[in-house]
Amino acid sequence: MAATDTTYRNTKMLHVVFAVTSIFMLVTLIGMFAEDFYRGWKVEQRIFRDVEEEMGKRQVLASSPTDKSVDELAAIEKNLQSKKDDLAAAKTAFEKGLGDLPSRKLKKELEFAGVKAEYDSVMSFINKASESREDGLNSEKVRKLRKQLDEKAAKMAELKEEVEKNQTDYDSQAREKGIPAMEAEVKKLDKQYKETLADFDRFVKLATQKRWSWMDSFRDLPIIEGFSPPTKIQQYTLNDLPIDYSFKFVTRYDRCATCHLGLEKPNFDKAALASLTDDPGLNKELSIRYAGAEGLLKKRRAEGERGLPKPEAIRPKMIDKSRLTDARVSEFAAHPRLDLFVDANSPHGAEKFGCTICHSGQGSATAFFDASHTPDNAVIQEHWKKEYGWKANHYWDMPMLPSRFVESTCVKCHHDVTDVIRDGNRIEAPKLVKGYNLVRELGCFGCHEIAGLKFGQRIGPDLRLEDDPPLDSLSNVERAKRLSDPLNPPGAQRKVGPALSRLAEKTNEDWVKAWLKSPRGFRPETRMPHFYLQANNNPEALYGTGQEKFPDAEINSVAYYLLSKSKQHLNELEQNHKDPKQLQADQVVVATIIQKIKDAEKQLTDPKLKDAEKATVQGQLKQLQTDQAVAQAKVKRRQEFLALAPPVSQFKLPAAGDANRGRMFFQEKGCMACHSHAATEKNGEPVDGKKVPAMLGDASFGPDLSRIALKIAPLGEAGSDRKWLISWLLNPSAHSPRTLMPSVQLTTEDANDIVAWLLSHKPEWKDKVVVEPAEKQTLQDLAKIYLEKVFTKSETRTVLENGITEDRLKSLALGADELELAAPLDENKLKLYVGKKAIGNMGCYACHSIPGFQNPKPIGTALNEWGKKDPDRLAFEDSEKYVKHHFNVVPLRDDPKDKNKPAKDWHSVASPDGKVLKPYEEYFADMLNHHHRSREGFLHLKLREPRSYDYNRIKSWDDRLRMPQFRFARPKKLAGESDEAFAARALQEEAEANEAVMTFILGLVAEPVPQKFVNSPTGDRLAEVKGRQVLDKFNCAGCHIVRPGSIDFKPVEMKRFEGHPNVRKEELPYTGDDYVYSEHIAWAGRDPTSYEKLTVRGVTPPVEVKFDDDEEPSKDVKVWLMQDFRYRKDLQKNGWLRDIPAGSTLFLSPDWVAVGETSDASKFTAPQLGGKFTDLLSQYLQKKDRENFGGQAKMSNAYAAAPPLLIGQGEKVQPDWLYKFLLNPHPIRPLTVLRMPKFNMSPDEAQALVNYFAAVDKTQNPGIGLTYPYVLMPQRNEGFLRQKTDEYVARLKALNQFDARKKDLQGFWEKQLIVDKADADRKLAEAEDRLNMAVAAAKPDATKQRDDAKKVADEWKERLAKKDVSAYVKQWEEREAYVADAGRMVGHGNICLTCHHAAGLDGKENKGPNLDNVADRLRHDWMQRWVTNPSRFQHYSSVMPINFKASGAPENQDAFVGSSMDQIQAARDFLLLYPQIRDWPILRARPILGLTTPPMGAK
Amino acid sequence: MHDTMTPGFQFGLAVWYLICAGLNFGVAQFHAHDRKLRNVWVGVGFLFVLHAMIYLVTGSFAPQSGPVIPEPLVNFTNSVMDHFWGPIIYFVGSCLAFATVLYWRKQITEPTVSLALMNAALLIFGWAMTNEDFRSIITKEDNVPIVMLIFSVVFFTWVGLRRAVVNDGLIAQNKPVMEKDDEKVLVWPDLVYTELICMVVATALLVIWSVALKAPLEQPATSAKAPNPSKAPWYFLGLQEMLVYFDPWMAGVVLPTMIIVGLIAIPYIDFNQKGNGYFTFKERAFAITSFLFGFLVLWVVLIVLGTFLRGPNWNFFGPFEYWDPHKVVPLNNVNLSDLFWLQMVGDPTKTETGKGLLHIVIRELPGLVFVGLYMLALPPICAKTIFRRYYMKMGFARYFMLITLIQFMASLPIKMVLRWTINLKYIVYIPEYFLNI
Repeated sequence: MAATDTTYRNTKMLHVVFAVTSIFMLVTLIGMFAEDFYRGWKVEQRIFRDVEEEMGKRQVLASSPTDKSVDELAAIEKNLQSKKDDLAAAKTAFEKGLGDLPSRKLKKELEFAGVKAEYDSVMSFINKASESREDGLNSEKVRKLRKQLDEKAAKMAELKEEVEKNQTDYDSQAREKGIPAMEAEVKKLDKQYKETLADFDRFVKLATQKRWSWMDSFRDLPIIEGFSPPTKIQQYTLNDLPIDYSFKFVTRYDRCATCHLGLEKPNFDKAALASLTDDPGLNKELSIRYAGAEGLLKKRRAEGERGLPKPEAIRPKMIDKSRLTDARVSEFAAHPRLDLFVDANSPHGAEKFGCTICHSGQGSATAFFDASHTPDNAVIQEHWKKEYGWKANHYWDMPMLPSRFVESTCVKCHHDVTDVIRDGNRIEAPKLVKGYNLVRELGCFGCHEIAGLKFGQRIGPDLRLEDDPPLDSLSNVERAKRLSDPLNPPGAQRKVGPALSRLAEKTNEDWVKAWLKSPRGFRPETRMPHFYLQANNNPEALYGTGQEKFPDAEINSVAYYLLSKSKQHLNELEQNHKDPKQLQADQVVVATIIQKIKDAEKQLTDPKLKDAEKATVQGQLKQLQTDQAVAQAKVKRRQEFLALAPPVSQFKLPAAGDANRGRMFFQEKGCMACHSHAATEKNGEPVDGKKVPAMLGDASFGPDLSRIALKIAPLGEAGSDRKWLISWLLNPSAHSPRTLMPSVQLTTEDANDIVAWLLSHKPEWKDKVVVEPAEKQTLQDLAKIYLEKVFTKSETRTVLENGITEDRLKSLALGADELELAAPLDENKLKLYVGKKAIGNMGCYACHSIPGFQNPKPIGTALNEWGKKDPDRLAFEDSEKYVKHHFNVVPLRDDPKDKNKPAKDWHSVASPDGKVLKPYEEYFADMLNHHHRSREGFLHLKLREPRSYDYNRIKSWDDRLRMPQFRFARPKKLAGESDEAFAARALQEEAEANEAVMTFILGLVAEPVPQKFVNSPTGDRLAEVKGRQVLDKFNCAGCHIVRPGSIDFKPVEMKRFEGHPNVRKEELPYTGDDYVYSEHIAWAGRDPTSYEKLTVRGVTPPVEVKFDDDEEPSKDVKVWLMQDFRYRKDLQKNGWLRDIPAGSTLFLSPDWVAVGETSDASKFTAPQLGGKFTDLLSQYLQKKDRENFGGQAKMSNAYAAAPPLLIGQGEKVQPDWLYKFLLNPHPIRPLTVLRMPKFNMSPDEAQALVNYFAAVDKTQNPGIGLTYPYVLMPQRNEGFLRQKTDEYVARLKALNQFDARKKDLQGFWEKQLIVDKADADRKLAEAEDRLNMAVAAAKPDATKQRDDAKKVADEWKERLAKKDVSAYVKQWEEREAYVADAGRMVGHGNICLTCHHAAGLDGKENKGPNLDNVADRLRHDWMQRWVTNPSRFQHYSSVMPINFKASGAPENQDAFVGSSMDQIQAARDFLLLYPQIRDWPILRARPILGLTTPPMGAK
Repeated sequence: MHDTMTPGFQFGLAVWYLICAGLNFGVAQFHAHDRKLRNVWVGVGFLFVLHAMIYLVTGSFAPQSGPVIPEPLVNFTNSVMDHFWGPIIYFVGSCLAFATVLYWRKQITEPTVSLALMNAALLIFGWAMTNEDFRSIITKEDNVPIVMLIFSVVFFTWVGLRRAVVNDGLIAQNKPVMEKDDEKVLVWPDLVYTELICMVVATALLVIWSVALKAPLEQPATSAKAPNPSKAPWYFLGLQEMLVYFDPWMAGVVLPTMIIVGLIAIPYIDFNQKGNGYFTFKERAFAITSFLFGFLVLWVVLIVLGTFLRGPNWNFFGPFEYWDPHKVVPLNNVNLSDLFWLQMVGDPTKTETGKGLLHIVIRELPGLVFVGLYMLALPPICAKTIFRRYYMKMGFARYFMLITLIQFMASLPIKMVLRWTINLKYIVYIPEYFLNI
């Protein structure tokens, strides 16, 4: 067809279509660019730009002078200017008066400079010439040049002299006119002026830098910003902390700072950011500041200063709330703990650690959802869903941790967990530590492996059960062998429950059954979890399954098993203890066999032996060896039994005790440091005429003993309960070898009284659960389940009828459970079998040591890596519905305003069918939904209702979930709290504790963090970390104050402290009674590093019990300083310095104190460790005995009677002594009403505690140079005494006391002559006797001895006759003078002897420890500081006064001559040397000074 | 599920219904001349508007709780699609629908009927979207193309069939077909210009697509955890579905090869001169049926199955069923040799493996016979019977190629039926040489 102009389609139409599509394309492209331009993070950065600029302005304004101070500044400046003018004028005038000196001076100087230049030039020519020639310095050219050089040098020297002379002239004349002084002043003023403005100028500069220039704005235009945008992704690149993608480690890029832009800026706190949305015009302070800054800038700019912005540039503007939303305030805020994280100087700098290593989440993401942000509760989640379309991100395995679990990642590197406790008792990850302690206390590790090692590398906390038998009870060889494998070190955790091998002598079957079914029904706060009445075995769950009777039958069987096995054990024990000599008989048997073996072996070596005979002998030998093993095992078993306490039945029961007295002892002897008892809440009957006041203890380390009388009820003769309890109190570890209950060092009488009281309370057991007796059929049904796994169905039938035949028994494995079923079968055998199976199934042995279960395997899932378990691998089953039907799902747990209170609707409700529905956080309920399944959701319900995952599942009896239900919190009702409030709070505390455990478990990720990031403390820090664990293990803090607490505060005005009675002002002379040890923290604190936050370290002050209590309690926060509190006028260290030493009480305004997360009523930022019982006991004593303990003055006695403070224990005592003391304590302080118990502690643990105390004081107090484990004692050095004596004699001589002192002693020496002569005479007589009796051969020797003795006796006789005491004097002068006088002082009735036994003498009243024994106990430097001022080291006004005052004239010069410090040291040296010198006669040279009545033990 | 009806989603749904309404109003406008028809479409349009209004209201005033697809309907669908029967219903249903469409093509491709069907589909789709399980799978970024694929395949099939139906009518009346047009057109502007416009539009659409739907980034690959379900790219999901029924070497090697070979061979096999340049069905009934069966039923339908209905562990999930990884479906499949030797003959020794070639041959005798019969005996039988005419026309070589290709194509439905009826695992089972059929 021919070509035509007509087209198939209408061209015009095509043009239109093309135009439309092109516009469409254009719009699309614009949309694409817009999409890019408005990417989330870019928008954030643009907003942040404004925020930052505004923040910069605020910072400038904060440091800008107010208009008032602008005037002051102007005055300074004016002054400066006038001084400058004066100086210039004076200079001009002065130079005029000099005549031609200035011009001459200048001329010469110029001339000198010219010559020097020539000299340098010539020198360079020489160098060049010598370098370029072979002959170097010897060349002709060089020689010529050198000649020139010499000339120039000479000229220079000449000129120099003149120049210097001119200068000297000039200077001396200037000095006369006072020019340099003026110059110096100008300089000083200038510096002052600049310093005042330094911050202002610096911030002005910063603020101007932060502003965007027009170029920045241009670069940020759409499309153009594609090239070099001012908005940039900010990222931390972490090559050392890669992400583990299973097959590859990939560098971690954390881009969080792309949006969280203020992360590292300390002034970006939330309050400051939020205030940017306020109208600055309404802020008066800001207006004033701006007016000042404006004036200043205007003026300086007018003066021509460059680089200053226009005042308008720093005018504060308001940022709209729609731009700076609350969410953005959080987004832009600085990290709340820059001292710990992010900041480059903190231990976890962001450059090194990034963000996601702690927070988890997807670091490379730059969008809200992709980063895997995780809400912290259901309300926030709802909000996020609405605002950001948030949903659970399934595509990132480690989503960001919500703030409530953020501490869990600490475990990645802090394997010891306790190493997050810093600076005393500051627990930086409180939730984690709480969880860790709960896991330890509740014994989770018994069933779940929490191993810290993987292929020999540490991957996490190590909480493993100790071996059975424990390491402590192994022989040294076995122990070394067990410890030799570094890949498999032994575990260290004891089983948390008591040993049950002696259960039968403690209680009865009825109690055991009720207890097993519902432990909390007996004791609500017990740690024993619930195995029965659970989601999968309560009557409702079992209804219709045919298993309804199984729980009770199982309980019957377990109780029967435990009691019958324990009876067997006790029988054996009794046999052994009744006839202990049997052991020797058995040992003889062993010895005989060994002898026979030796004989046989000897026989074998006989060469004459024939082969046949040899074989016989060898056969005998083999038999003998077997016999030996058997016999030895028997001996060993006997020995083990004999090592245990004899059965209680053999205990001789004393007459019934005095219950009232027993109650008093219960309160006084320290029981209540670990236990509580409801009956102590009311006043008791008086004892010996003194009332026994109530004591409101809340200790929960040991069980609450209110119902103990119901429990200690063994069957058998009357009084067997008393027998058991008394013998238990006297020696708990003999009954339960690994118990943490110490031996409280009670006398049998005291124990008897306490037992009488404990057993006298038999409260009604109201809600005791009913356990139906087991029917044979049920037992058979249960047994069948297990038997069918071993036998065939038909065999099982026979076994259940007749038991297992002997033949069949032989084919079973050693120790098989089925061995219990040997024919003939009866019901009890069935019970034993079912009981044993149930115990094995439930894992009772994980917490209790049970006969028949040695070293069984943990039955639970290993938790080593649980924290990163894939939620897909968790069986959520029908848990969502379970929660819906069994709980009251509530949006919030805590009140949003006050985190310490439960939310309004956080309480139980009744369901339509009348069941109680406990509250459950919607947050966790949501995580069970299949769109949002997560580890947290699973774990939370698992801990709350462990068996709920069986809900709606059809399962056989032994296939059901087995984890028991724990209760984690142990709340106590507060005084004045309503029942509902308490119930809600109890639920909240339980939920919190649940989360604490979760925090710990979620942290177990076994992530191989490179070794350099793992916090592996060494040396002192390690000692502290390990020691803390032992402290917690034995509840040392139950009695003692171990570490001070601390309070962070922001002081608003320092004046408050200026008037403090103990304040020490640097610029004023110190007038206190004590010396100041500037190296010790009790007297000299740490310099403050900022005034935003000051810290005091101390404890709650002693409480005086008031009897007429109508005083308004002070609202101030009170603290008794345990360390000096230091502050300065300013941080530049220009101003004065103040010290308020330890031992003072400080009152802080409650507004200053930044209360962190602490719920402690004392408002301590970090609470002190321990001290509750101290307070409890001292208040009790004050009430009990007002006469001796009541009132401000005697209150100290009450505290002195309580367990001592352990702060500073390390600097106080010698490690050797403490070690021995811990393992075997002895009484020290007579004032105390109780005794240090003997703990069931291994030597290693004692060592760890010793190291702990020493390490803590060493690091806290570096100035004192503490050493451990060894301590040097200079007093024991050979030369020490001689040197001190020389010094002292010199002092005596210098003070003209020497002769007087000698004269003083003359009488003593003369008496001593008589004594010594008598002694010599006696020795002579003895020598003569020996001579008379000696045989002929010995005669010569004896004669010689007699002659010598005679000579000595004659000498003494002569001396006595002449009254020659020169030998004594010499000895005194060389050796004795110092200690003799020191001894006089120590033995001075009004000093040490007032309260102590010292220098072999009893004091007036022996209130204080015996000072004769301190040489082994105390450190010498501590003694000196202590005597200087004991109150610096106590947590109450010490009972001991300052005996040697630094102020005023030194006293007691008749005893010891010297200053108070000399006296202190002398007394200290005397006490430390006392064991060596106690026999020196000179110590008894004088009657005791200052004592009106002779001391009690005076000889 | 109520809490997932976010306001944003409800507004989106309203927009969807408004678009559908607009479509119907457009159709009504098109039928302006026919009042009755127009009113029908306006009515349908208002039905969609009503839906849109409901979601606009609930979305603004009662966020999180719009009307959702009724629970009984969901439950009914789920129980119909219950695990084991799911694939059967789905596949057999697809085959029946395919047959129906082809058989009643005249009625079904009638615009009014097609539009009604489409409206029904759009409405049901809208309803289904209110189910979270359905939505979460449909709206997955990976799966969006498959939704588009469904609509576009249906549309183009409709276009083809509709035109074929019309043309068949014209041919029957001896009138020229619709596409009859002898005129030649210019390269410029008719070809190049339109191509340019298409390019612009396509580019813009791709840009919009890529901006609107983010790249579906999932979790990082780890050797410790394979995604469940582990799916092939969407265009291979048909192949992956074959893996359910065949050994990998069959499903992954032989059958794809046969597909490619078959596609290449079509021009050589197809000797029918009719139907060139215009749509027709009657004149190419066999060719179109067999091709559409292969493409639509054995490929597209299987892709849709693999995309939307195969969940964790490659289990079948109904459209409204939650993809629960814990769902367990019994797989008690047996081999033909077991069926024969164990259940029929009762000789367990014959089914042992690893015993030498002769034993294998004996063991697999039933399967080998079956396959032999199918591959070797069937072609001559067919040539004598149903394909006699074709055989005559095509000659041996072409016929042989055709019948082989058809046999391979048919092997899939045959295997499916065997699996569903007698739980057959493999017809021939030779693990010794990794050869299973």
